[in-house]
Amino acid sequence: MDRPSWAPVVLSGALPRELSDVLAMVILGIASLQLVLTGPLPFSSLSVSWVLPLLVPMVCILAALSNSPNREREELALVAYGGSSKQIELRYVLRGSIVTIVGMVPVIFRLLSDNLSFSTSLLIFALLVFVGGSTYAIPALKRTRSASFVEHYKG
Amino acid sequence: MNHLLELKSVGLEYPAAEGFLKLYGDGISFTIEEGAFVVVVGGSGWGKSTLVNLVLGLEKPVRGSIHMRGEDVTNQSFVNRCSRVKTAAVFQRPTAVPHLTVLQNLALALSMSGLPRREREERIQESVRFFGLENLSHSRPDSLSAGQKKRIDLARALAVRPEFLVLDEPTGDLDSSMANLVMPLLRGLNREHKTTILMTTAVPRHASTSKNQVHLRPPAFQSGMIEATGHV
Repeated sequence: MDRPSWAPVVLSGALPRELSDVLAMVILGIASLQLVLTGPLPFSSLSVSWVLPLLVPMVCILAALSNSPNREREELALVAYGGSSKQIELRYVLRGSIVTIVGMVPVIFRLLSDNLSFSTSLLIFALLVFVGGSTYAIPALKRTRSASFVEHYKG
Repeated sequence: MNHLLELKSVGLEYPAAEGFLKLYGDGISFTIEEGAFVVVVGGSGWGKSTLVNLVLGLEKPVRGSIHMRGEDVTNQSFVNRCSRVKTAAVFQRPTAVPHLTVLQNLALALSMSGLPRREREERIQESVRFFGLENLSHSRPDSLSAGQKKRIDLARALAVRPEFLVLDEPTGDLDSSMANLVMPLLRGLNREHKTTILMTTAVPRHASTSKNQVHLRPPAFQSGMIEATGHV
């Protein structure tokens, strides 16, 4: 027999849809906009580049921590449907990455509009997206791997 | 007959005030043949749900081994076990994705099965009709009662048409009329589709659904080996 398909579990929750996700995108968006409007190319100067690397993980982890009981119920259901904890973590990595990318749209436009060689900037940008996705998945990782997770199936 | 599931001296230990509490004494052993309907009977806190979690791979035993179709799956996860035997589970506490409607929950569960879309839709409609969920199909689980949520779980499990169906007190939150509907349905599923069923219950009347029974004892009396009787 084939393994259950991973795609529905991962993709069904990839899009940010909660208020906390929207707030995270707005906060990152404001910070990005400020960087773009006030400084040089966002990742080209050490004096301004610390803002996003600090803000991205903190905002993403806060967004992921909100509404934890509801998220845990969703995770319990997904496991009951045949999903694995790795698939659940991957969907949060994707969601966190999308939150980070959307939040940094002003930076993306700035990078694209400046006709510079932006390989370093792109690398830092990719790293920030990875950090955003990873930190967003940390609370779920902690929940689904905890010994008490399956206790919630009991009445 | 072939063994679909075999538990050999499986035991668990929990931290307790005085050292460790041993669940299932020196171990629980029983086998389930392909196509069997086995009922695990026991009171509250006697280890029924833990046994379900062990069978599904959601908890790992501290001793003993679990075999599925002859292969040792003791350390395998639920997903890996599902790839060996198509398994569906209905837990004691209803489990549905809160932000999805009833139909969307069923569709998500079936979308993982790899079935063609048309067949998935037919199965969903059939399950929704059978469990009287037509009027609730666009509702979200949060707005439903415990019994209605349990009906979603049962509809999902049956729509998947598993080879092995594991149910932890499936009639717990249902009213008596729905409970009386579910038990014949499970018997029919077992008879007609040859679905192997493992069900736990604390209700003696439901235990009589099958002559294959595993009787648990209260943890305080679980010394020695628990051996299932009969051709389980």
